[in-house]
Amino acid sequence: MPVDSLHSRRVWHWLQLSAVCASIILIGAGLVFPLAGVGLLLALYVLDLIAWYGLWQARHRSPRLAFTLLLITAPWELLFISTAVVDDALPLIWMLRFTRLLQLNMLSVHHERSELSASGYLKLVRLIFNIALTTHICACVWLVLGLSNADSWLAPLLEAGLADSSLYIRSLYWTITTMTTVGYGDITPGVDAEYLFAAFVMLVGASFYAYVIGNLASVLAQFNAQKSAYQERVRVVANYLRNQQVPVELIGRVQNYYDRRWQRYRHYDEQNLLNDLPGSLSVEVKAELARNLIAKVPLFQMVSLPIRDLLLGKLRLEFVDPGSLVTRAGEQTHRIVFIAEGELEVEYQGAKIGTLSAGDYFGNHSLILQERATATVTTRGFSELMYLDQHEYERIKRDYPEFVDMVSKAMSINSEQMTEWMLEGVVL
Amino acid sequence: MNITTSEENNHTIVSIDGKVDTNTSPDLERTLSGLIEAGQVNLLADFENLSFISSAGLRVLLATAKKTKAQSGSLKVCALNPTVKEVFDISGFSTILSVFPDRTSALGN
Repeated sequence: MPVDSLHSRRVWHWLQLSAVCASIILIGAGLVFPLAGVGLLLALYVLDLIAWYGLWQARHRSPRLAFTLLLITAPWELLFISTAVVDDALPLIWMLRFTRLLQLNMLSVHHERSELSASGYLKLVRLIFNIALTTHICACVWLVLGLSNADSWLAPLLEAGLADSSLYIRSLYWTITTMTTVGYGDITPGVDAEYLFAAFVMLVGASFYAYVIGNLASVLAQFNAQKSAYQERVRVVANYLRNQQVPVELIGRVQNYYDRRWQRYRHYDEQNLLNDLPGSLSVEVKAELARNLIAKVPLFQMVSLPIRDLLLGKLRLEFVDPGSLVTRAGEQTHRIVFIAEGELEVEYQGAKIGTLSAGDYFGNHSLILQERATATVTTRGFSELMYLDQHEYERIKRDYPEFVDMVSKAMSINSEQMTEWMLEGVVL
Repeated sequence: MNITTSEENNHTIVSIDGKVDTNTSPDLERTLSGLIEAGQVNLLADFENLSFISSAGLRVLLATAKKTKAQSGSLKVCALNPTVKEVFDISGFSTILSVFPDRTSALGN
């Protein structure tokens, strides 16, 4: 894995840690005790330092994101408290601190490419989060308006000596009743600014309905969308096989195969996916997918990087179910088979003579000697195989004559079992 | 396929002319086994005029190499043409057997 992507991933971990901790403090202290003390505020600044460290690291990779997050997490409130006493300014500070919660939204955007989001769960969380945040901001503004005017809706409550947290709860209650168009009318605006804001919240509330319902419908439709699409394809295949009167047992095997393939790749057709990508990116992805193979097959460690990339580009990936015939005795094979995962059984003259496992490869003898295979190879369990076809082999050999020498060196490490089998008459 | 043998520098040189395939490999096997039984365990197979080798031929070489090794001898192979060399390389025989570019280097080793 390239160093910068590792680094970037680490940066995201820092940001997540900071954002989640900050959010817990904000939600806990901010919502329940909106006028919480200076100590918690300082704890938030410490968390911001962690976030800023992450942003500094990510500044080259994602400058736009780093800039946006910096805007969100900057201590804007400090601009307002320069002339005020800290204790008096605390409610305002806490309210402004809530912009930090937007970090969570940013992080969820970052995660949108992940499977979690594709399943719709993250979208639902984001929807709830956006509703809560909008409601909270409106409640805060309503509270600030109330605090800044003697004739405001808040005046009777202040006279009654209600606790700060109760004032916030009333404000939140007013916001929700207004936004949801319930409108009990027990809290009403007292001054012009409040009337204007109430009208604004009513409009926001109406639009919010559309937003919530539209999003909910979209979230429900997209729940496990990827898996549903995959299952739909499997259903189509199974129906087709049933119509063709294929035995039930075989259809079961096909479905079982697709289930395992889904568990393994979470994708329907990885080969098409790889073909979709531009050459160099496809090779890079393939190298990552084949990292087990590269680590285990000596050939991949011995060849130069251009040849390794070329090889990876030319390899055909196949996920094979148990009991599948990979090579049949008596057939001329035109490919070298690399085992990336799984175990394969070798049968010679009706007897099982051994197994091949991840890292082994075969087909080279049959291919180079132009002889038919004398042994049968079948998969024991689900296996991941990679094929290098003869014409690709010829091309690599033509473009890179040193490839043959490299294969020769690699063979010396991997050939003990094959040598024994060859003595017995096995050609693979 | 023609097989000729000669002695040079404490080695028995087996020169093979033509193809070693399923039909001709038993002849090669008989010749090599006969030499080993006669106590000549330092063998050099000269492939200068060998145009083709099949898996059967490779098996004979492999079995001979094992036998000579068991009697503290060796089987060397020299002067492979490009086609035969590729077969040796891809099948791993280049590292199992001692392969030399020509007769002189094989005898001098």
